Amino acid sequence: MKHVPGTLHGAQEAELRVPTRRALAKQQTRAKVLAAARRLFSEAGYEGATIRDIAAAAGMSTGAVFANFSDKSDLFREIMLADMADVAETMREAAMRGRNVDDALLKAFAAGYAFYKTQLPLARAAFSISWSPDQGQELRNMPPVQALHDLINEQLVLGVERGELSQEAEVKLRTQMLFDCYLANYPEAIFQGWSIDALQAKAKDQIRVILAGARRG
Amino acid sequence: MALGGHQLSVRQSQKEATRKRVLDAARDLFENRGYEETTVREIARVAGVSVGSVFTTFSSKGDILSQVMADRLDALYAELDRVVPHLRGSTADRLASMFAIHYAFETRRTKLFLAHIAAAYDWTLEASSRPFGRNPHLIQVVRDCLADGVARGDVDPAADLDIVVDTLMASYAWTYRLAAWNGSDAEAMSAVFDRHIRLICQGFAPRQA
Repeated sequence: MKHVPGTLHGAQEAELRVPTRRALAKQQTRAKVLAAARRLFSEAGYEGATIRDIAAAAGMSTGAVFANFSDKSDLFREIMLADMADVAETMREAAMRGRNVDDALLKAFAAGYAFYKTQLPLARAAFSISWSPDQGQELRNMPPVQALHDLINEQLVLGVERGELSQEAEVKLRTQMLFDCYLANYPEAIFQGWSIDALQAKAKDQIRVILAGARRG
Repeated sequence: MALGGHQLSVRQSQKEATRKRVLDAARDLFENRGYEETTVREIARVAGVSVGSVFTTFSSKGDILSQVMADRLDALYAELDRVVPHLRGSTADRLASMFAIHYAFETRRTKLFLAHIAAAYDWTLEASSRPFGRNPHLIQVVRDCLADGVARGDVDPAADLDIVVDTLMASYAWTYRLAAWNGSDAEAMSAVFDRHIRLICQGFAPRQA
Protein backbone atom coordinates (compact mmCIF):
# COMPACT_ATOMS: atom_id res chain seq x y z
CA MET A 1 0.00 0.00 0.00
CA LYS A 2 1.78 3.08 -1.24
CA HIS A 3 0.57 6.35 0.11
CA VAL A 4 0.07 8.61 -2.87
CA PRO A 5 -0.60 12.16 -1.80
CA GLY A 6 -4.01 13.12 -3.10
CA THR A 7 -4.60 16.29 -5.06
CA LEU A 8 -6.76 18.85 -3.39
CA HIS A 9 -9.45 20.73 -5.21
CA GLY A 10 -11.72 23.66 -4.66
CA ALA A 11 -12.97 24.13 -1.14
CA GLN A 12 -10.45 21.70 0.27
CA GLU A 13 -7.62 23.72 -1.17
CA ALA A 14 -8.99 26.95 0.25
CA GLU A 15 -9.13 25.38 3.69
CA LEU A 16 -5.50 24.40 3.53
CA ARG A 17 -3.63 26.77 5.80
CA VAL A 18 -0.59 28.37 4.25
CA PRO A 19 2.18 28.12 6.83
CA THR A 20 3.31 31.45 8.15
CA ARG A 21 6.90 32.53 7.77
CA ARG A 22 7.35 32.05 11.45
CA ALA A 23 6.10 28.47 11.32
CA LEU A 24 8.38 27.77 8.37
CA ALA A 25 11.38 29.17 10.21
CA LYS A 26 10.55 27.00 13.19
CA GLN A 27 10.32 23.96 10.97
CA GLN A 28 13.70 24.72 9.47
CA THR A 29 15.22 25.12 12.91
CA ARG A 30 13.82 21.76 14.00
CA ALA A 31 15.14 20.06 10.87
CA LYS A 32 18.58 21.59 11.43
CA VAL A 33 18.68 20.46 15.06
CA LEU A 34 17.53 16.95 14.13
CA ALA A 35 20.18 16.61 11.43
CA ALA A 36 22.92 17.74 13.81
CA ALA A 37 21.63 15.47 16.57
CA ARG A 38 21.54 12.49 14.25
CA ARG A 39 25.14 13.07 13.29
CA LEU A 40 26.35 13.52 16.87
CA PHE A 41 24.43 10.53 18.24
CA SER A 42 26.06 8.46 15.49
CA GLU A 43 29.53 9.77 16.27
CA ALA A 44 29.48 9.96 20.05
CA GLY A 45 26.63 7.71 21.14
CA TYR A 46 23.64 8.78 23.18
CA GLU A 47 25.61 9.46 26.37
CA GLY A 48 28.47 11.15 24.57
CA ALA A 49 26.39 13.70 22.68
CA THR A 50 25.39 16.77 24.70
CA ILE A 51 22.73 19.35 23.88
CA ARG A 52 25.50 21.93 23.87
CA ASP A 53 27.41 20.04 21.15
CA ILE A 54 24.26 19.49 19.16
CA ALA A 55 23.40 23.20 19.33
CA ALA A 56 26.92 24.14 18.26
CA ALA A 57 26.83 21.70 15.35
CA ALA A 58 23.48 23.12 14.25
CA GLY A 59 24.91 26.63 14.51
CA MET A 60 22.50 27.89 17.16
CA SER A 61 22.22 28.51 20.87
CA THR A 62 21.23 25.85 23.39
CA GLY A 63 18.22 28.08 24.13
CA ALA A 64 17.04 27.71 20.55
CA VAL A 65 17.34 23.92 20.83
CA PHE A 66 15.33 23.88 24.03
CA ALA A 67 12.65 26.02 22.41
CA ASN A 68 11.97 23.06 20.11
CA PHE A 69 12.80 20.00 22.17
CA SER A 70 12.31 19.45 25.87
CA ASP A 71 15.51 17.45 26.40
CA LYS A 72 18.00 15.07 24.84
CA SER A 73 15.74 12.05 25.14
CA ASP A 74 13.00 13.99 23.34
CA LEU A 75 15.43 14.63 20.46
CA PHE A 76 16.53 11.04 20.28
CA ARG A 77 12.95 9.77 20.41
CA GLU A 78 12.00 12.03 17.49
CA ILE A 79 14.86 10.63 15.38
CA MET A 80 14.08 7.02 16.26
CA LEU A 81 10.38 7.51 15.63
CA ALA A 82 11.03 8.79 12.11
CA ASP A 83 13.49 5.98 11.33
CA MET A 84 11.35 3.23 12.74
CA ALA A 85 8.25 4.44 10.89
CA ASP A 86 10.29 4.31 7.66
CA VAL A 87 11.68 0.87 8.38
CA ALA A 88 8.30 -0.55 9.40
CA GLU A 89 6.85 0.59 6.07
CA THR A 90 9.81 -0.85 4.12
CA MET A 91 9.50 -4.16 5.94
CA ARG A 92 5.79 -4.33 5.25
CA GLU A 93 6.33 -3.81 1.54
CA ALA A 94 9.06 -6.46 1.54
CA ALA A 95 6.81 -8.98 3.32
CA MET A 96 4.17 -8.58 0.64
CA ARG A 97 6.61 -9.94 -1.94
CA GLY A 98 7.06 -13.17 0.06
CA ARG A 99 6.14 -16.47 -1.58
CA ASN A 100 5.11 -18.13 1.70
CA VAL A 101 5.18 -17.40 5.40
CA ASP A 102 8.91 -18.17 5.83
CA ASP A 103 9.84 -16.14 2.81
CA ALA A 104 7.65 -13.18 3.78
CA LEU A 105 9.19 -13.01 7.25
CA LEU A 106 12.68 -13.39 5.87
CA LYS A 107 12.17 -10.63 3.30
CA ALA A 108 10.82 -8.34 6.00
CA PHE A 109 13.74 -9.02 8.34
CA ALA A 110 16.28 -8.58 5.55
CA ALA A 111 14.73 -5.21 4.69
CA GLY A 112 15.10 -4.18 8.33
CA TYR A 113 18.74 -5.24 8.46
CA ALA A 114 19.48 -3.46 5.19
CA PHE A 115 17.97 -0.25 6.55
CA TYR A 116 19.88 -0.23 9.82
CA LYS A 117 23.10 -1.47 8.27
CA THR A 118 23.57 2.06 7.00
CA GLN A 119 23.19 3.55 10.49
CA LEU A 120 24.52 1.04 12.94
CA PRO A 121 25.83 3.59 15.44
CA LEU A 122 22.31 4.97 15.85
CA ALA A 123 20.87 1.47 16.17
CA ARG A 124 23.48 0.77 18.80
CA ALA A 125 22.45 3.82 20.82
CA ALA A 126 18.79 2.81 20.51
CA PHE A 127 19.49 -0.70 21.78
CA SER A 128 21.44 0.66 24.71
CA ILE A 129 18.58 2.97 25.66
CA SER A 130 15.97 0.27 25.16
CA TRP A 131 17.45 -1.55 28.17
CA SER A 132 17.24 1.39 30.50
CA PRO A 133 14.31 1.03 32.90
CA ASP A 134 13.00 4.57 32.42
CA GLN A 135 13.35 5.05 28.68
CA GLY A 136 13.07 1.46 27.48
CA GLN A 137 9.35 1.17 28.04
CA GLU A 138 8.74 4.34 26.10
CA LEU A 139 10.79 3.15 23.14
CA ARG A 140 9.00 -0.16 23.12
CA ASN A 141 5.57 1.44 23.08
CA MET A 142 6.27 3.66 20.10
CA PRO A 143 3.75 3.00 17.32
CA PRO A 144 6.32 1.77 14.74
CA VAL A 145 7.55 -0.91 17.15
CA GLN A 146 3.98 -2.08 17.56
CA ALA A 147 3.59 -1.98 13.76
CA LEU A 148 6.52 -4.38 13.39
CA HIS A 149 4.99 -6.71 15.93
CA ASP A 150 1.67 -6.54 14.06
CA LEU A 151 3.43 -7.26 10.77
CA ILE A 152 4.90 -10.53 12.06
CA ASN A 153 1.58 -11.44 13.60
CA GLU A 154 -0.30 -10.82 10.34
CA GLN A 155 2.13 -12.94 8.35
CA LEU A 156 1.63 -15.85 10.72
CA VAL A 157 -2.16 -15.49 10.56
CA LEU A 158 -1.93 -15.51 6.76
CA GLY A 159 0.22 -18.64 7.01
CA VAL A 160 -2.50 -20.33 9.06
CA GLU A 161 -5.20 -19.21 6.62
CA ARG A 162 -3.24 -20.56 3.66
CA GLY A 163 -2.77 -23.86 5.49
CA GLU A 164 1.02 -23.54 5.73
CA LEU A 165 0.80 -23.52 9.51
CA SER A 166 -1.55 -25.54 11.68
CA GLN A 167 -4.60 -24.01 13.35
CA GLU A 168 -2.96 -24.40 16.74
CA ALA A 169 0.10 -22.41 15.71
CA GLU A 170 0.23 -20.28 18.89
CA VAL A 171 0.59 -17.18 16.77
CA LYS A 172 1.06 -14.77 19.65
CA LEU A 173 3.93 -16.67 21.22
CA ARG A 174 5.61 -17.27 17.89
CA THR A 175 5.28 -13.60 17.00
CA GLN A 176 7.16 -12.66 20.15
CA MET A 177 9.88 -15.24 19.53
CA LEU A 178 10.38 -14.15 15.93
CA PHE A 179 10.57 -10.54 17.06
CA ASP A 180 13.17 -11.51 19.69
CA CYS A 181 15.31 -13.29 17.11
CA TYR A 182 15.05 -10.41 14.67
CA LEU A 183 16.41 -8.06 17.33
CA ALA A 184 18.92 -10.50 18.79
CA ASN A 185 20.83 -10.60 15.50
CA TYR A 186 21.68 -6.92 15.59
CA PRO A 187 24.73 -7.30 17.85
CA GLU A 188 26.33 -9.45 15.14
CA ALA A 189 25.78 -6.64 12.67
CA ILE A 190 26.93 -3.96 15.07
CA PHE A 191 29.98 -5.57 16.62
CA GLN A 192 31.11 -8.20 14.16
CA GLY A 193 30.27 -6.44 10.96
CA TRP A 194 28.13 -9.26 9.61
CA SER A 195 26.94 -8.77 6.06
CA ILE A 196 23.27 -8.64 5.21
CA ASP A 197 23.63 -12.05 3.57
CA ALA A 198 25.03 -13.55 6.77
CA LEU A 199 22.27 -11.99 8.86
CA GLN A 200 19.69 -13.24 6.42
CA ALA A 201 21.07 -16.78 6.48
CA LYS A 202 20.90 -16.83 10.26
CA ALA A 203 17.38 -15.36 10.36
CA LYS A 204 16.25 -17.95 7.82
CA ASP A 205 17.39 -20.78 10.08
CA GLN A 206 15.80 -19.18 13.13
CA ILE A 207 12.48 -18.73 11.35
CA ARG A 208 12.59 -22.39 10.35
CA VAL A 209 13.25 -23.52 13.94
CA ILE A 210 10.48 -21.35 15.38
CA LEU A 211 7.91 -22.42 12.80
CA ALA A 212 8.89 -26.10 12.73
CA GLY A 213 6.47 -27.15 15.46
CA ALA A 214 3.58 -25.38 13.74
CA ARG A 215 3.96 -27.32 10.53
CA ARG A 216 3.11 -30.68 12.04
CA GLY A 217 -0.58 -31.27 11.98
CA MET B 1 53.34 -21.87 45.38
CA ALA B 2 56.58 -19.94 45.46
CA LEU B 3 56.75 -16.90 43.21
CA GLY B 4 59.87 -15.56 41.55
CA GLY B 5 60.95 -13.18 44.28
CA HIS B 6 59.70 -11.65 47.50
CA GLN B 7 59.49 -8.19 45.91
CA LEU B 8 57.35 -9.44 43.07
CA SER B 9 54.98 -11.46 45.21
CA VAL B 10 54.30 -8.53 47.55
CA ARG B 11 53.61 -6.23 44.66
CA GLN B 12 51.55 -8.93 43.01
CA SER B 13 49.36 -9.52 46.06
CA GLN B 14 48.96 -5.79 46.62
CA LYS B 15 47.77 -5.41 43.10
CA GLU B 16 45.39 -8.32 43.55
CA ALA B 17 44.02 -6.80 46.77
CA THR B 18 43.42 -3.46 45.05
CA ARG B 19 41.70 -5.19 42.20
CA LYS B 20 39.37 -7.03 44.54
CA ARG B 21 38.58 -3.92 46.58
CA VAL B 22 37.76 -1.97 43.40
CA LEU B 23 35.54 -4.73 42.03
CA ASP B 24 33.65 -5.10 45.33
CA ALA B 25 33.07 -1.36 45.60
CA ALA B 26 32.03 -1.09 41.96
CA ARG B 27 29.59 -3.99 42.20
CA ASP B 28 27.80 -2.42 45.14
CA LEU B 29 27.74 1.07 43.64
CA PHE B 30 26.51 -0.15 40.23
CA GLU B 31 23.78 -2.16 41.89
CA ASN B 32 22.64 0.42 44.42
CA ARG B 33 23.16 3.67 42.57
CA GLY B 34 23.23 2.57 38.95
CA TYR B 35 26.00 2.25 36.40
CA GLU B 36 25.52 5.60 34.66
CA GLU B 37 25.34 7.46 37.97
CA THR B 38 28.53 5.96 39.37
CA THR B 39 31.90 7.61 38.63
CA VAL B 40 35.33 6.00 38.76
CA ARG B 41 36.22 8.60 41.40
CA GLU B 42 33.48 7.29 43.69
CA ILE B 43 34.53 3.71 43.11
CA ALA B 44 38.07 4.66 44.14
CA ARG B 45 36.81 6.47 47.25
CA VAL B 46 34.63 3.58 48.43
CA ALA B 47 37.41 1.09 47.69
CA GLY B 48 39.87 3.25 49.63
CA VAL B 49 42.36 3.52 46.78
CA SER B 50 43.51 6.34 44.53
CA VAL B 51 41.90 7.04 41.16
CA GLY B 52 45.32 6.49 39.62
CA SER B 53 45.65 2.99 40.98
CA VAL B 54 42.18 2.11 39.64
CA PHE B 55 43.42 3.05 36.21
CA THR B 56 46.59 0.99 36.49
CA THR B 57 44.36 -2.10 36.72
CA PHE B 58 41.34 -1.15 34.61
CA SER B 59 41.14 0.86 31.43
CA SER B 60 37.65 2.33 31.98
CA LYS B 61 34.41 2.11 33.92
CA GLY B 62 33.11 -0.23 31.23
CA ASP B 63 36.12 -2.45 31.78
CA ILE B 64 35.39 -2.58 35.55
CA LEU B 65 31.77 -3.54 34.84
CA SER B 66 32.75 -6.33 32.49
CA GLN B 67 35.20 -7.70 35.09
CA VAL B 68 32.50 -7.58 37.79
CA MET B 69 30.24 -9.57 35.47
CA ALA B 70 32.96 -12.02 34.45
CA ASP B 71 33.65 -12.82 38.12
CA ARG B 72 29.94 -13.37 38.68
CA LEU B 73 29.81 -15.73 35.72
CA ASP B 74 32.33 -18.02 37.41
CA ALA B 75 29.95 -18.43 40.37
CA LEU B 76 27.00 -18.99 38.04
CA TYR B 77 28.85 -21.63 36.06
CA ALA B 78 29.83 -23.44 39.25
CA GLU B 79 26.15 -23.54 40.23
CA LEU B 80 25.15 -24.76 36.78
CA ASP B 81 27.76 -27.52 36.77
CA ARG B 82 26.63 -28.65 40.20
CA VAL B 83 22.98 -28.97 39.11
CA VAL B 84 23.20 -30.29 35.55
CA PRO B 85 24.27 -33.88 36.39
CA HIS B 86 21.18 -34.23 38.59
CA LEU B 87 18.64 -33.11 35.99
CA ARG B 88 16.03 -35.66 34.96
CA GLY B 89 13.06 -35.76 32.62
CA SER B 90 12.56 -34.64 29.04
CA THR B 91 14.95 -32.39 27.14
CA ALA B 92 12.46 -29.54 27.51
CA ASP B 93 12.35 -30.02 31.29
CA ARG B 94 16.13 -30.08 31.56
CA LEU B 95 16.52 -26.96 29.42
CA ALA B 96 13.88 -25.20 31.50
CA SER B 97 15.89 -25.92 34.68
CA MET B 98 19.14 -24.66 33.17
CA PHE B 99 17.68 -21.37 32.06
CA ALA B 100 15.73 -20.95 35.30
CA ILE B 101 19.06 -21.07 37.16
CA HIS B 102 20.27 -18.20 35.02
CA TYR B 103 17.20 -16.05 35.55
CA ALA B 104 17.31 -16.71 39.30
CA PHE B 105 21.00 -15.87 39.48
CA GLU B 106 20.89 -12.65 37.47
CA THR B 107 17.82 -11.27 39.22
CA ARG B 108 19.69 -11.34 42.53
CA ARG B 109 21.24 -8.16 41.19
CA THR B 110 18.86 -7.04 38.49
CA LYS B 111 20.08 -3.47 38.20
CA LEU B 112 23.65 -4.59 37.77
CA PHE B 113 22.70 -7.11 35.13
CA LEU B 114 20.60 -4.65 33.14
CA ALA B 115 23.48 -2.16 33.24
CA HIS B 116 25.64 -4.91 31.81
CA ILE B 117 23.23 -5.51 28.94
CA ALA B 118 22.93 -1.78 28.19
CA ALA B 119 26.73 -1.40 28.36
CA ALA B 120 27.13 -4.16 25.81
CA TYR B 121 26.00 -1.52 23.30
CA ASP B 122 28.26 1.11 24.80
CA TRP B 123 30.72 3.02 22.68
CA THR B 124 33.57 3.01 25.11
CA LEU B 125 33.66 -0.71 25.82
CA GLU B 126 36.85 -2.31 24.52
CA ALA B 127 36.89 -5.46 22.45
CA SER B 128 38.48 -7.26 25.41
CA SER B 129 35.39 -6.65 27.54
CA ARG B 130 33.01 -9.53 27.46
CA PRO B 131 29.81 -8.38 25.78
CA PHE B 132 26.48 -9.63 27.01
CA GLY B 133 25.07 -12.60 25.15
CA ARG B 134 28.33 -14.38 24.51
CA ASN B 135 27.98 -17.02 27.14
CA PRO B 136 30.09 -19.91 25.84
CA HIS B 137 29.67 -22.15 28.85
CA LEU B 138 25.86 -21.97 28.78
CA ILE B 139 25.89 -22.53 25.03
CA GLN B 140 28.00 -25.65 25.48
CA VAL B 141 25.83 -27.06 28.29
CA VAL B 142 22.63 -26.46 26.31
CA ARG B 143 24.15 -28.04 23.23
CA ASP B 144 25.24 -31.08 25.23
CA CYS B 145 21.73 -31.41 26.64
CA LEU B 146 20.27 -31.42 23.12
CA ALA B 147 22.83 -33.96 21.93
CA ASP B 148 21.94 -36.18 24.89
CA GLY B 149 18.30 -35.69 23.86
CA VAL B 150 19.08 -37.34 20.54
CA ALA B 151 20.45 -40.31 22.51
CA ARG B 152 17.43 -40.27 24.87
CA GLY B 153 15.16 -40.27 21.84
CA ASP B 154 13.22 -37.02 22.28
CA VAL B 155 15.30 -34.94 19.86
CA ASP B 156 15.14 -35.63 16.13
CA PRO B 157 18.64 -36.72 14.99
CA ALA B 158 18.11 -34.61 11.87
CA ALA B 159 17.69 -31.38 13.88
CA ASP B 160 20.38 -28.76 13.41
CA LEU B 161 21.45 -28.38 17.04
CA ASP B 162 23.54 -25.24 16.58
CA ILE B 163 20.58 -23.37 15.15
CA VAL B 164 18.32 -24.61 17.92
CA VAL B 165 20.87 -23.40 20.50
CA ASP B 166 21.14 -20.07 18.74
CA THR B 167 17.38 -19.57 18.69
CA LEU B 168 17.08 -20.53 22.35
CA MET B 169 19.84 -18.08 23.30
CA ALA B 170 18.18 -15.23 21.39
CA SER B 171 14.86 -15.85 23.12
CA TYR B 172 16.55 -16.27 26.49
CA ALA B 173 18.40 -12.96 26.22
CA TRP B 174 15.42 -10.94 25.09
CA THR B 175 13.18 -12.34 27.81
CA TYR B 176 15.26 -10.14 30.16
CA ARG B 177 13.35 -7.20 28.73
CA LEU B 178 10.56 -8.26 31.10
CA ALA B 179 12.86 -7.43 33.99
CA ALA B 180 13.87 -4.13 32.41
CA TRP B 181 10.44 -2.94 31.41
CA ASN B 182 7.98 -4.64 33.73
CA GLY B 183 10.15 -5.33 36.75
CA SER B 184 9.41 -9.05 36.35
CA ASP B 185 11.14 -11.46 38.73
CA ALA B 186 12.98 -14.67 37.88
CA GLU B 187 9.92 -16.81 38.31
CA ALA B 188 7.85 -14.74 35.88
CA MET B 189 10.64 -14.79 33.28
CA SER B 190 11.15 -18.53 33.66
CA ALA B 191 7.41 -19.09 33.20
CA VAL B 192 7.48 -17.14 29.94
CA PHE B 193 10.64 -18.80 28.72
CA ASP B 194 9.36 -22.29 29.55
CA ARG B 195 6.69 -21.73 26.92
CA HIS B 196 9.37 -20.71 24.40
CA ILE B 197 11.35 -23.85 25.18
CA ARG B 198 8.30 -26.06 24.85
CA LEU B 199 7.44 -24.52 21.49
CA ILE B 200 10.97 -24.96 20.13
CA CYS B 201 11.07 -28.55 21.41
CA GLN B 202 7.86 -29.34 19.50
CA GLY B 203 9.76 -28.44 16.37
CA PHE B 204 12.51 -31.03 16.90
CA ALA B 205 10.44 -33.84 18.42
CA PRO B 206 11.14 -37.01 16.42
CA ARG B 207 8.46 -37.71 13.84
CA GLN B 208 6.14 -40.55 14.71
CA ALA B 209 6.39 -43.34 12.18
